[in-house]
Amino acid sequence: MAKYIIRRLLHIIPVLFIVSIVVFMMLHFIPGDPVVNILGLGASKAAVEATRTQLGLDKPLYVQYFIFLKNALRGDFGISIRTKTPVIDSIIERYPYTLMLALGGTLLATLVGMVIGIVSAVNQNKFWDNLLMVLSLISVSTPSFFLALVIILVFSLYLGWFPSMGVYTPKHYVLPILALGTQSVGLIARMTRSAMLDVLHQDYIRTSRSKGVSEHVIIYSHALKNALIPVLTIIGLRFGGLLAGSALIESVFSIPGIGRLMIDGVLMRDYPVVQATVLLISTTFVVINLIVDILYKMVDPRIKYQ
Amino acid sequence: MNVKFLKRFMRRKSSVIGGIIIIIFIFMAIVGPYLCTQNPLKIDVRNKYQNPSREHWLGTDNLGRDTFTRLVYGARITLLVSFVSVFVGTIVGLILGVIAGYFGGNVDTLIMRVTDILLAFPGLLLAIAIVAILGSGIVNTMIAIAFYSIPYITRIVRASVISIRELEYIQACEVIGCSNFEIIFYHIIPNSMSQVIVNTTLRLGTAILTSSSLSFLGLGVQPPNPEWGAMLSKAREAMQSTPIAALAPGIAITLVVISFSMLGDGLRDALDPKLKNV
Amino acid sequence: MKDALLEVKGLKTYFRGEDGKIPAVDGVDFSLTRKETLAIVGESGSGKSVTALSILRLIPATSGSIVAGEIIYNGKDSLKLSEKEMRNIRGNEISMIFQEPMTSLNPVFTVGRQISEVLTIHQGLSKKEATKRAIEMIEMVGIPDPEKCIRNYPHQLSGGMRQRIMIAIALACHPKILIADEPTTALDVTIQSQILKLMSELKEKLDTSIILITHDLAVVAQLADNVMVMYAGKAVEYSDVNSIFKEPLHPYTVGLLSSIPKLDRELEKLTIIRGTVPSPLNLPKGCKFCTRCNDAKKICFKKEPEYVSLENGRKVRCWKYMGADYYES
Repeated sequence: MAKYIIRRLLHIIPVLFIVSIVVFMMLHFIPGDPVVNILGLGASKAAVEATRTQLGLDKPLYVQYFIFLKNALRGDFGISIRTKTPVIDSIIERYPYTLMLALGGTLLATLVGMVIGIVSAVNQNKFWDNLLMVLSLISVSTPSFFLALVIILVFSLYLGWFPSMGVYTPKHYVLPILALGTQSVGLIARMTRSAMLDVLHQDYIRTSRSKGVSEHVIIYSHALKNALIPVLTIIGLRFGGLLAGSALIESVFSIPGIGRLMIDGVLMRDYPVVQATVLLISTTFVVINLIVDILYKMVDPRIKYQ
Repeated sequence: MNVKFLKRFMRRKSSVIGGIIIIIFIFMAIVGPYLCTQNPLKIDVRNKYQNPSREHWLGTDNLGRDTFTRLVYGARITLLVSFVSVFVGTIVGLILGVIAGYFGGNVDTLIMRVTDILLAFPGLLLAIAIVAILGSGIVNTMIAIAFYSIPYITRIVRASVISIRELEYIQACEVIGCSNFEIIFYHIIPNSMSQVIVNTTLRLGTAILTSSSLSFLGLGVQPPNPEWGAMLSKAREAMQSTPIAALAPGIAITLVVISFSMLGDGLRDALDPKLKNV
Repeated sequence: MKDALLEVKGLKTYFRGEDGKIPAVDGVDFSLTRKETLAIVGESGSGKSVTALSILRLIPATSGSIVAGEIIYNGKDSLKLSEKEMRNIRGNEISMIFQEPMTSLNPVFTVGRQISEVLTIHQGLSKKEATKRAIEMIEMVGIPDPEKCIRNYPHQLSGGMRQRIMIAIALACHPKILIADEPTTALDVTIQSQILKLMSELKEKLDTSIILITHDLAVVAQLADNVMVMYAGKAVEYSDVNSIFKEPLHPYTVGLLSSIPKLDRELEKLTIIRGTVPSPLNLPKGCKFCTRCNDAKKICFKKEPEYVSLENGRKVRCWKYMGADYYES
């Protein structure tokens, strides 16, 4: 088991390296001279050269990369072109909001999604199953920003129950998390249903019935414990998806999170900001997947005890 | 085989409905603009944010343009972007997957590593990153979506190729003296196709969600193009007074994506009932 | 039937097929007494497994249901019991073991937990006591080092050991009846005989009656006291084990026995029963075996024979034994 964990850790290190290389190279893939891209076409030649030296862009590529990496590991991502302040400051200030949204959304999606999935599986092909699966399909197909707007319309503008802008109080988190998580509810519901149905048709469930175990225990203990295993991997993937997707929600609800920072960075060609945010989100994603992977292997005794 | 496939497909009402809706939207995209009487780009600021009326079936948007007409023209853009990008992504993914699966060894490892890297980025993030590099606009959006579709298709095709390659009748082919090319084209690809078709159909829905998300954020298709996501973005400010301006494009997106999902499910059941958990 | 533990009368279990109702079990009668091992023999599709599942009412409601009959156990018709009462019987007074030990045990629970579960549910034992009893059971089924074994997961055990665990689970509460559905079919031949020997010993030790479902006549010879042969959902012959091997009555039984290749004789061709088992949707009118029977006469194709009792306690469903006037006409 420990051997497995070490092997996986060794596996993601090259992945993270390459991710960092890709992010670093982003600046250099852009057509044209990176410095001109930063300063704009109207900049004078002197300014261009000065900035080039200042940003270290006159050094060979691999040197630049090592500097980039060294700084990144220290938390130094340079200065934001727009705000002229260190990027890392904005990140530290904003990351918690995004994490809250992503975690909240994942939690919501997991709890609600799993319950829906189980109910559907147990009532296979009957009324509840059909209704819940249709709702799941709709939730998966609705763009999250549209859903957010509709939620604002109903719960904030018409009913006035929750605020729709900013994050000043816990109440401010309700609608954004609802909007972000609902899309994933459908996905997790479908996966849970599928896994439960699979499990409920297995021979060992028939054995459990022949032992006189109550249906309740069979569903929530004997079957669920088996179905949980594949669902776990989806939850990990979803968290990463929500980290990225929160950009949309932060946009609609005017929440000062990382996602919004990244988008603004892209729109304004604030490359240090873009590099930092993309790197941060993808690294988090890779690490979360690793953790889920390990958890998955620990939960399944077939793998834990080889 | 074709008749049986059609029969199985027809059995699922939801898939048939999905297929019909898509055909309606395709029709709307191709023919619609010729039938529309109004100009989607005509600005008439005095009439902005009108509610539905006889003249403007779905009202007007923030610059007084007719929402319904923009919706119809927008269908063209939305479907074009998703079809082209997913199509390109599928072709590339198919090629990579076949090469990786069939030839194995170092080539396989290399391709799989690249796929892993691409999959290390959440989908939307990858698209945003690509748009950040290349800039916004229709073509770049298509490239971004194609890019992030490739790893999924590659993986599926590779898995399919590996399982088929081991089948005995392929080995029999080799013994007879079929060339690699023949084996790949006449045997392996046709057998992987059902999974590819199903996945591609589902990807079309995801592509629409991604492209409209990008446009919503201002990163994808640029104004004044009537892309549905962009329309939603502009309609935000009038949510309370004229909700229809946002509801129309939003419902359109949802409807098309649902239809692709239902169609994809139906195709999967009709092409190979054993694939229930793909 | 005197001191019968279990009496099955007119059991009919039908399944819902795509093109109509499938009569998997179409009117079956038998009984089981104390210390008896009854073998139910037949090919796949004869309805023997469905009969076993019906006794414990384990037929999934989405697939089919028991449409007629009585199953008298303990003086009550178990088909009329509530689900809760039925659960008290399952695993406790009547247990079942299944054909596939590989897939019949839950992969995420330890073997010990799966045994002690029946004890905590039915006998209200505490976890500690149940675990102790589980260790005893594991020892009883012949697995070495039981204390270590209880912490194992099913995938860590071999097929033979898993089947022993299944037996341990089934017998933990000392049930009166054990239903064994092809318990050795999925195992190697050497393991097969070990498991059968084990079942025989435990039957004596725990005073359990066994209903043994099988298609393997060698297994029947080794374990059974009485044999019931099924074909196309109906019982076609019932007899004690010696008589059925010495003098099979029903043409189907004759065919089954003669198709076993004999090692001490030279054979040119294997004897077969011509034809194939009819599809349950397309059963022949009259006797269900008539299309494959070498002794079939006119009446066999027209009317179905009744299940009649003969002098020595044997029963058979065949026109040959219902009197010459019927048979020869």
